[in-house]
Amino acid sequence: MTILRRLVIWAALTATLSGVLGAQEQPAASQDAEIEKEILSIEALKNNAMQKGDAKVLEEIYGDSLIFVNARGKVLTKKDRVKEFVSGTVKYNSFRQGDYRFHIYGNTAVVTGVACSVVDYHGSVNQTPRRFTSVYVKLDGHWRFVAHQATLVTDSPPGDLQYCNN
Amino acid sequence: MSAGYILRMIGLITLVCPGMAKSQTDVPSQAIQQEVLKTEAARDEAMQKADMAVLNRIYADNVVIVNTRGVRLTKAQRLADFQSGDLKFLSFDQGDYSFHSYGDTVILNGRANSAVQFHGKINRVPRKFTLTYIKLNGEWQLVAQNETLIDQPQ
Repeated sequence: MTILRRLVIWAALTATLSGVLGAQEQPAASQDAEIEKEILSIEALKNNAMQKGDAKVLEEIYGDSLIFVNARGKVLTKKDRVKEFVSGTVKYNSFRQGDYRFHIYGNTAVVTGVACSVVDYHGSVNQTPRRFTSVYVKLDGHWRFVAHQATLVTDSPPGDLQYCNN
Repeated sequence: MSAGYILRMIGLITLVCPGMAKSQTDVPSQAIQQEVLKTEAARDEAMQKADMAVLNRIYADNVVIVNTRGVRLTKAQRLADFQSGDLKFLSFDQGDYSFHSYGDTVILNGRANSAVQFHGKINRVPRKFTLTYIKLNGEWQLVAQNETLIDQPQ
């Protein structure tokens, strides 16, 4: 067997093994923790860019086919959402977002949290906290924000909005 | 080593490592759409009948649900709502689906116009929803659900 042929077989076996490992639904806790840290740093960048209306950073983080459902139940594309920041039709009077919870499934991360920011949206100010679900998917080695939906919190169990009240 | 041999090996690698061949295009194939819609139809029927066995199978153990009131619920809480009758459908109308897929993850958006009784209160306001389905152990399971009332006053 030639060296080249051995190399090809070795590459196939290695790739097979990594494919099998990659297909596991829940990586080890330490891997999850790393992913959470990575996504939290992207969230921080995104939050900063949203406050500054930094379209370049947002375009980098948003997946091309982002589907974004806002707290009014309106569906926005990546282009729609970025345009809102560039035009100034979304502005933050204050910014606070957290109480994150993660569920990791290989290359997909589901993130829920609460936003208590005061936001000026198309001329009307909203101070009601929003619960949100975001989905990040790893594409070409980068975590991309591919789906988001926010819902006004109108009925919270005791302690549920502790993050916003602190 | 012939070019044909190398091509066959590349084909083998692609076949056995679906992650490497994961498409960046986000429109799922008709087959995947149909699989997910079939699961969604089974879930819709189970919600109306409070069929706990089916719901238990479709909801992933770590599913996270944000309902139209902005409350975050676990699988146990959601199943308890159906089992107790605290969540009941007076009419059922759901559709206007759009799909995005990323490997074994499918994002399903849609609109629900059902009349729902939830803990004694009836809601007839249409909702937008985002469902995240992931294929786990060969089955499509719901891992996240978020619902938002449409055009509610701010």
